[in-house]
Amino acid sequence: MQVQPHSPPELLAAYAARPDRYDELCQRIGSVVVLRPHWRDFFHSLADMAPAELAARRVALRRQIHENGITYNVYADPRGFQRPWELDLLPLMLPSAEWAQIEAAVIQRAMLFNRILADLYGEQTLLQQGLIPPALIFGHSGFLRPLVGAKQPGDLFLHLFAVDLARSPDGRWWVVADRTQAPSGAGYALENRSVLARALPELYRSAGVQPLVPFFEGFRDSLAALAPADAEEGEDAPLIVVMTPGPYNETYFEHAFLAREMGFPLVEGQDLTVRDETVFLRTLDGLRRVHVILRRVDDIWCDPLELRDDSALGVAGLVGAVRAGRVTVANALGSGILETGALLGYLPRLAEQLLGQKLRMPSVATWWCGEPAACAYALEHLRELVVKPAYPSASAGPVFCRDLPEAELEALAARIAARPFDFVAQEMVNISQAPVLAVDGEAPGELPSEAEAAACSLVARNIALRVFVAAGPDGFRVLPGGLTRVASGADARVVSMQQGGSSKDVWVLRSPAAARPAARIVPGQLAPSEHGLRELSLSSRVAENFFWLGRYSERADAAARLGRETLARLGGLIGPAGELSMVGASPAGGGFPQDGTKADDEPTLAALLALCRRAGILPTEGEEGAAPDADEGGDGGGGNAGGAAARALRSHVPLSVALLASALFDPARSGSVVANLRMVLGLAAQVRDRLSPDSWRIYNRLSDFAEAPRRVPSLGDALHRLDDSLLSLVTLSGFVIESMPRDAGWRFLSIGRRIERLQFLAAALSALLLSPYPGALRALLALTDGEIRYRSRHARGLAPQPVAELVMLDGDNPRALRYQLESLAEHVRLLPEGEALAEPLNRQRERLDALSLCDCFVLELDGRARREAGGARHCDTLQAVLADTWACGNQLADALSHRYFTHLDARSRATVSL
Amino acid sequence: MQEYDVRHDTTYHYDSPVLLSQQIAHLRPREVAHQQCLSHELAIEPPASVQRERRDFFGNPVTAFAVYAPHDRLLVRARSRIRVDARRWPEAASSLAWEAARDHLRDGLSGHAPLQDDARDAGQYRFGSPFVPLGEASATYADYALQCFTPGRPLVEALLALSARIHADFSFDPEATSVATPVAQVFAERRGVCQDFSHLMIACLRALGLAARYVSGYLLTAPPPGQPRLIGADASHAWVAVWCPGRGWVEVDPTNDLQPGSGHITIAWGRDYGDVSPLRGVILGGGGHKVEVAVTVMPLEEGEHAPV
Repeated sequence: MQVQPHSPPELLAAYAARPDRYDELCQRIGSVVVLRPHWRDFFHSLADMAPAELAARRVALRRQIHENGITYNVYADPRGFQRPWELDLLPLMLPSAEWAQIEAAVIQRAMLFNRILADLYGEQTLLQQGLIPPALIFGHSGFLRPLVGAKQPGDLFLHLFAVDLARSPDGRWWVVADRTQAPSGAGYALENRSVLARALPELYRSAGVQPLVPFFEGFRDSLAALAPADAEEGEDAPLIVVMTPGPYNETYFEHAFLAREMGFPLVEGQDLTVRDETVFLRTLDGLRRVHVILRRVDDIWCDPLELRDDSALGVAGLVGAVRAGRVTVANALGSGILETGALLGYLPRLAEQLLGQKLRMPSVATWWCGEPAACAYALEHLRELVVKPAYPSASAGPVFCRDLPEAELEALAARIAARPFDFVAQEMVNISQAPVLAVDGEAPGELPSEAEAAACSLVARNIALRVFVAAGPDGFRVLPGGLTRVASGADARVVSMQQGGSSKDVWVLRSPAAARPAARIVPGQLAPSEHGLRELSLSSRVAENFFWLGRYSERADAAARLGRETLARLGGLIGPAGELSMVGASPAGGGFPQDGTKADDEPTLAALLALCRRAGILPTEGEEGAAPDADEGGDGGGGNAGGAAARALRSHVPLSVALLASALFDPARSGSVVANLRMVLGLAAQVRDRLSPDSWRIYNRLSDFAEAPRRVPSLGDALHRLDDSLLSLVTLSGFVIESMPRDAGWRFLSIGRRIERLQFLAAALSALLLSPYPGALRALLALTDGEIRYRSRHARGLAPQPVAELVMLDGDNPRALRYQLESLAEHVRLLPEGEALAEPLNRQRERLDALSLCDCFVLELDGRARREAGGARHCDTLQAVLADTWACGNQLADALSHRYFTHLDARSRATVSL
Repeated sequence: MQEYDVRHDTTYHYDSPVLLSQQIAHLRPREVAHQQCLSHELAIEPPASVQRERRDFFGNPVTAFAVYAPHDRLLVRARSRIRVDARRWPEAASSLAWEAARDHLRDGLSGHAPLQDDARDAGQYRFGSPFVPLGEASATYADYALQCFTPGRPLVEALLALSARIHADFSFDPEATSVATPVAQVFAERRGVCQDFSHLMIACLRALGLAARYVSGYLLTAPPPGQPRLIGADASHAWVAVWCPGRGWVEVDPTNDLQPGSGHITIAWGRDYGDVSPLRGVILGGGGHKVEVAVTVMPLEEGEHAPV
């Protein structure tokens, strides 16, 4: 096709405007196809870029999506199958005049729907007057009878409402579906904006795009204003929470994102409890009243007491609290009732009746078969229609009758005739198409490399537009933009993120007359909340997640260090005395032999392997049957390699580098680096709303190391991988120290880390400090990152006494045992009622201090120094103190769990009696 | 006219302490034209931390309560004195044809014709509900019912015929089903208890396009001849009502294949069991639990006013 004027052929070569669809980019004037005016500037800037530059922009965009961790969970997979979000480099451009019409139509619709909900859950005059057929409501499982009569503050039922629009060939926009339950996508739209504005900064600036951020700020303000007016004397500012079904929900990313952006805690049902018709958040300091719940849980799951009793996602008693007017739920419970195509045909009359206005934007032609005339029409024209369930149903999607074999069409017609109330038929719409940037030979979802083929071209894809409207203090406001969803293939009929589609940002252009917005607005970033929402005490669940996040990241760190040291020795990279062979140290000066034989090193290796077993990296002697056979099945090549390692270890084959290397990266081994990193990532996802975008990026980088290698790594590969994992972990912990606010979350994270490090140090000291073999002290220093520090203090050589000082007794070395005890005591003392928890830690520290004065210990260390290899004597005192220190960590963990965490065995359950 | 004292005791035994318990009770008998609740009291152990009375969507009295103190046993004792008058049901043969009832509802509910308030309310009970899902299974139930609902047959006559058919085809077997047994399974296995037969009959009636509701209550049972009435030997009962335009709700008890008389005491009604379960709750903690229910229906002799 020819696009005038001066079309860059390489970009539009594959682009085909079709006569049967509206094309967003081009229009036909006579026999000539030209760009639509509002696209021209943008398109020419784009076309001026070299193909390589376009490809690079696209790479940068996708990399940023990866780094921001923007995902869409496709399946409720407990291992967290997260698909990267797909965003096209080209926005959908809409001129301001056209947008003004959409805006007015959507606001009218929001007002209309709100009025309908208020009536259905109130007087029900619409049913009495027959303006809505009662069957539409009574037969709908989303009509929540316990909510009938419940008053909503400000008579507001819809706080956030989304409308799916599509454009027909004549250029008109139509409403295809309404999202009244808990619409998703607004957060993705905001993220799309911030990513795209960074990928095309100069185009974004010059286009004059209306900003999205004020909409979210307004929504945040209006939620705060909706808190029940009965706040008691002395109560804090209203507490607003975002309620999510949890990390396995398909749009969990967005829940966490919105919570973080708006400054509201992200909670799950189990974090909330109802006492005397009032909702509370379980926090470390006890219960705190919740005033407003922005829910992302579908309403029928919100209260196992009065709604679905098999729900584990809700809050028992929530409905009662709503009826009592003690909490505002947004959107109101019960608002899902309007998500039915059956209602669409009644809207024009309802608009006239309730608003005294004509409906501004039509809905796609829809026949509810419960109405005899409509049913007759639908049955007659079935071939051309799409049939959908009138009431929401998990099992039934749309049926495109055009595709059905004759027999199936007849069967469908028979079902409709038998149960007409249950079906709606809709016209098929040829929706509009827009340009999408395609790169040759690229697999979707894969992160492209810089060197990829730079053959970019535009292709036409079908699109649908989701528009958002929110209640504000001065009425409904529309997000000037939205989420454009793009069909996956040229002929795809269903436009759905779930079915592999992509998305686009929507650039609504300012009218030429409009003033430019204040410069302070960064695309996609909200100004800090001004509601004085006081720093919140943490919910118990979040505290527990932070605690385990700390433990597993430290455990991953220890496993990597232990693996690195053990592998290096096993592979012969480290001599018996270690590389730290103390240049200039005098053998006569009391060190240990520098020229030990291979045999000399075996006890140290054995001690390291024992530590690996204790850490769960290698199976223990008694674990023969316990090593899972399951890993021989699926789980990819890494699992198989790991399984082989476990089998070999069980059959006492001499341990090889390859076996240890596969065990270290075997996700099925609970102590492996990969298994620990997976736990870290899973926990980080659960506290995502509390992590800054930068720290999330660092967590996200770890995901590269949480995959099992495809084949058993070589020694070099394994060491390299361990180094890289460690580097990321260290970056992460450095970042945590540097940038996390010192709140309760940070405290539990730190406590988790310290407990884990305390136990690792106690185990390593116990295994290595008193070993008479020369490599042991070096290994100890390597495991505790102490070589440099040691060398800077003690030039004369490796000796047990100074090593013990450094790794055990030093109060300033963050990798020394004593430091962990001290730091733990400080942390727990600052927890609510934490004073008592610090006592056992202090006692243990005093024992450690006493040890340094203990003759037996000093003599033992001296004696060890004097003795040659062999003939080790036990220092019972030392071993006892180390064992007790290790146990002290467990006791603290138990005490914390008992006092602060939500107990998994105390989940809510429904009961019923006859 | 007959007066009764009804005791309905429910005891939960939990394996480990329950930290928080929220309950909704449908235990106070509903006031109906033919029935008066003379007195009612609810005793809860341990004592409820909060307790409220209200009416649910269907107009039934509800007691909502919560226990915040840890407990390993929950005892709920309901004591009610009720007067039930004799009842008269429409002449079976003279009721309107069942299709007329169906069409009246269909036209009204689809917005085709105006509906009176009572008929619109009946529309609540015309559709599938959580314990009586219809969907694709609808045709199966309709087929079963159509043998009784022959063309033009008077509604009440057909209703009684369906009750007789269910009574004949299904065996009473308390071991066969639980609260959670789906109607489809009851239909396939042809056994169950009053709750199952009521749900099944409701499914049949709704599949035909009629409005049918679930009535929960008690039934006076006769002790074995020559033996005294045993305390706690009775149980809650359930039966069915169908909407008959112009006549109102007509009840039938498919478990006993009869129309309720003064021996049937009504507690509540709803779309199905889930709307009116005597005690429904959510607990935090508790581990496993056992529940014991003891119901006694004591008819009072005329002039007897012994305290319960």
